[in-house]
Amino acid sequence: MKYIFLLLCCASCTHHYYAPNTVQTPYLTEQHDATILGGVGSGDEFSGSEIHAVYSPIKHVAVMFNYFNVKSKVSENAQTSVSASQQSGNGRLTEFALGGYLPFANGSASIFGGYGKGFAKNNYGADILTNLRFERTFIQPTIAFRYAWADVGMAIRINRLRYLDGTVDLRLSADHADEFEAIKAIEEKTTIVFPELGLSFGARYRLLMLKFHLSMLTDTSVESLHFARTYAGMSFGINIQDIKKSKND
Amino acid sequence: MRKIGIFFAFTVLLLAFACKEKADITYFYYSPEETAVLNQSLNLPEEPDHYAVSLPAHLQKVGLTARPVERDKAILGRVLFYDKKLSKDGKISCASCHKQEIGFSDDKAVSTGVFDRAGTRNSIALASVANFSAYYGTDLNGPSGIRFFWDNRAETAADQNRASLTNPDEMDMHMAEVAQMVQSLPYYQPLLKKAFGDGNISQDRVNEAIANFINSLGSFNSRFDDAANTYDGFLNSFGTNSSNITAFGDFNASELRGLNQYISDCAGCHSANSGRPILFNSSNGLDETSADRGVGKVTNFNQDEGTFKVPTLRNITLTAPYMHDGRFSTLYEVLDHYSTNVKNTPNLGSLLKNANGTAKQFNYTQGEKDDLVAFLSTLKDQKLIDDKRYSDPFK
Repeated sequence: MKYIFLLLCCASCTHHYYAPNTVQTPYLTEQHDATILGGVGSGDEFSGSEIHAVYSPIKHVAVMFNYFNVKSKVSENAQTSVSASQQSGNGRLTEFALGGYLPFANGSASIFGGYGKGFAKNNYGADILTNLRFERTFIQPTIAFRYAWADVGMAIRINRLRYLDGTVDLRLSADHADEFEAIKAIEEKTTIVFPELGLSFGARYRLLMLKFHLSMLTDTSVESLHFARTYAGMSFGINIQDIKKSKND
Repeated sequence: MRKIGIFFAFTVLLLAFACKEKADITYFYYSPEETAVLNQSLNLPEEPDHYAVSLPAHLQKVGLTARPVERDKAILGRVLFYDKKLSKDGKISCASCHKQEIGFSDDKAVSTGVFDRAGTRNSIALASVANFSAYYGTDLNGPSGIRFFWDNRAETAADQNRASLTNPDEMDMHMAEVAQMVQSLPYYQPLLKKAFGDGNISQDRVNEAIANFINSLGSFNSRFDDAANTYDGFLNSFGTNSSNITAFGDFNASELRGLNQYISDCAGCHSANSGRPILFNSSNGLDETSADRGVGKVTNFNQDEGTFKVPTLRNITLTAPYMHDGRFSTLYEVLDHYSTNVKNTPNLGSLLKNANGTAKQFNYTQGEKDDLVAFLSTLKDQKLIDDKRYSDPFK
């Protein structure tokens, strides 16, 4: 966790046009396995809240759902003439994925492909606003392991982020030139493909689950686009496998 | 496993070949609500105009500098400049007497104000100077060396605005009424917010906005400026080190003769490079006794009696009629005056006097008059005349 906090402290003081959500690392072994979690977290100058769920309707096949809501926390040392208290940002991402899984020994390998839409809104003070809408397509190979009371997992999510449209207050170009440049760069690229690494550690007690997640963008080139690069979250929920097992017991 | 493989392949293809159309990002300046309000009354571009002033190289070389213009205040100032609601009868705006198509001057000898009240003097062409702030001084609201109006009665641009808005023969308002009117008109709210950060108006803000707009006026894209920028010789307000300029940009022979004649006879008052004037006020011998005391009425100094501002002559071919009272309809009439009609007034400019104290008559031939008019035509800046940034924004 020290590493996480160090990352947060070193984060640049900018508005963000993308923030990573939790990369789910589901442990799936059979039909009707399901997990639903709700959590909160924090990243490069933003806080997030999310719901993520996964369910296997038939053996080897699963569906995934992610809902992610973020609020930015622009710090006082932002390089701008507008005080941080006047600045804000928020964003949202809702997505679905379909995938397959293969259980083995005490583990489960899975791969999901998903699609979702979201937005990133920012207020730079003095009613200078931007709003960018995007869609995200991703493919995500995952491996998860289950031990007596704990789950661990790792996934690499390869994102194809495409900005659809947006509105940008032109005053940004004068008052926040670096932000304007970032948006112009996003517009120029429009579609950005980049990987995210997801790590998770979960503790289970009966049907309850407490899970810690870390998502990281490994591609440093996205910094010029003012993408947040890390998100650390904690979620709490239930694991349907354990419900079934407790019923069977 | 086969199904998973197919799914994986499908997803990879989706990632690789999905739509690559460029993001449709709309850059806006006013919010949709603000745009709706503005569009009811005004034609303002979605992307705001820029009003930064960059003087031509030849004027920068002689030390002229333009004051930075604040874009949003200039935009607000443009609307104020054209708004007839800011006059007593709702029929007169600043632009009524400063028409863009004629160099921001008036084609009447004496301008008409509210309720058809006749003024006392000809409207000064705002485009007679290269740039307001460069000409009158770089301090927007502080004292400047050169004062405003034909009689130099206003010390600052703000004083000038105030005097015109409140003059009974012009717009006949009280500044408080102007501010109240601006506050009540919905289209000013978005403009005020952009210019000053809130929707509140004050008398000072009215003046500041108009001054920013006027200061952004740049009349320096004439053929004369193009030529001066490439001229190798020395040329400043006082003249040139050449007794006879033989080549000057793309000037033809007549224009070149006119330039030399102008530098010889006129530049001593009106400035050789049309940058800043040599004299702040003078008499050009129009009348032996002047009913209009001019600057003398303001200063009460004997040496100022019957004298008036000496403007530079940019866009002069557009700004007829001429002189402080608009008595001359054409440039040829003006040249006829200097040719044979200069009166020996008590405060006649020294450059219009012979060594023996009599009034100098230039006795121009028709050819010399043609050459002078040809040269003066090169001072026209059509770009300014056509520039939509300075046009009437009202629907």
